[in-house]
Amino acid sequence: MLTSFRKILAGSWLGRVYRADKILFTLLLLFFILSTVSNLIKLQTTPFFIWSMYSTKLPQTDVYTYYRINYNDGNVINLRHTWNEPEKTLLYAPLNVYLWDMAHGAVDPFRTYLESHWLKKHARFAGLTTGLYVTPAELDQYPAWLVKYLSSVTGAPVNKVCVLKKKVRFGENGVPAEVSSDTVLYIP
Amino acid sequence: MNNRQRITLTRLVTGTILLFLTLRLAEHAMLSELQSPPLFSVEVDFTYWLFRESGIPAWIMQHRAAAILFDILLFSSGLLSFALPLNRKILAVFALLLFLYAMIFDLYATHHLAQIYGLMIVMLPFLVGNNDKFTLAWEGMRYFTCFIYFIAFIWKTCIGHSFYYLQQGADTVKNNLVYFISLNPDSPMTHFYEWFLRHEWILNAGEKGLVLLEGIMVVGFFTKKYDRWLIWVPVVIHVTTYFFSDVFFIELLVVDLSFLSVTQLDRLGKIVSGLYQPEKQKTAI
Repeated sequence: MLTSFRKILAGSWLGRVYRADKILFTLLLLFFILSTVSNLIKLQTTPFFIWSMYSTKLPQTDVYTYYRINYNDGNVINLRHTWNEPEKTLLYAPLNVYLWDMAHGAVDPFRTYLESHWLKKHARFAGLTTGLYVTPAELDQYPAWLVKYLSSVTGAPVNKVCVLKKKVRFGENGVPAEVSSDTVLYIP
Repeated sequence: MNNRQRITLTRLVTGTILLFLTLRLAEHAMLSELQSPPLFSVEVDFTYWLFRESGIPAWIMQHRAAAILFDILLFSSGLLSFALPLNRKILAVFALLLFLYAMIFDLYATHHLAQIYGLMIVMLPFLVGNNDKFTLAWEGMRYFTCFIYFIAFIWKTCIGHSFYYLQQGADTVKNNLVYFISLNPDSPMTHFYEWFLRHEWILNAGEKGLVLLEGIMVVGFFTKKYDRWLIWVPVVIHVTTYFFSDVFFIELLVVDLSFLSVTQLDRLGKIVSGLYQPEKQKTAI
């Protein structure tokens, strides 16, 4: 049985790599092992990625939120295509971060995590973590950046931005009905 | 794999990457177009911690000339990789710049997008010189592609358990497409989505089907007999999620090219014709 197992191993991809180049074998084996371990311990260390997207149950809700960015007078940012995702991410993900942080005393929650949890276990690294979270000064720069980035996205000067947080409820017919609309950011 | 096949494969991969980079250029998503964003996120990823602490991403983003130069070098090295597919030095430069671009983008997008991970690693096998060893390394990319989808299946079924939430499909559509549907109420695609939202069971069943398709990729670990079908599994998954989840995971399909056999590369080589290096050269430069 051991002989047939050794034969299978020798004929396998890893067996062939081992015979061809021991260094390549080590690198590839390590890559797979570390990728597997990263996923099992749920800790990503690039390039050992974890592939957990959409693996958690979505919170049960009947109200869905999105941000509507109005600029100048009456213009709306409307990125209609899925291939717009990089641009959409650059517009809406930092916006989410900014709004969350400003609603929580202009403190980056990652700073809270570091100071109240991680550094308690790894105190010797305290000096190395100060650059890892967004500071209030960097938050202050966000509105001006948003205006600049929107100008480049729209191809026209942007001098007024209003971000609305919209909540909608989907009806039985699949059509969303607005539940609320709040101005969460206004840049004059 | 011989030189001719390796050239075809290199051009397919680098050509695909250049296509995605060009799309990102049009999307104002290249470093020179980001306008020095102030916010960032390292998440709990030590590589990003070290990268941020190195000062490299901040320096590039704060100096517009550096960002422009970076983008020019990225595209140039990509084009040169396409033109000179056996020149490993150029391929190494392209691979490095691609990796850096992906990290800097994800850092300042404040959200580490998984679809870009493929771009970060797909070029690594091309740094191997000897064609026989390169073939083995590229075969490793094929196994890694099987790993990606199978581990995603494990996450959904055994770790995160979203597979057992029967409303996951419909809720994903509502969550991800509320923006499009609300801003484009009269679009034919909106009416298309609204029809599905009136028949949520299709969305929910479809989501489970996609998860099972991810699980099917485990077959690739044991046999290559079904590669001509397995190559289409990621395509089906990502085209479906393109429409129903509004996510551009199509960028990840670059690793799916690892399922192409040498016969298929020969056939494609006739279409992607170009200058071939002499057959007598046994290894890439």
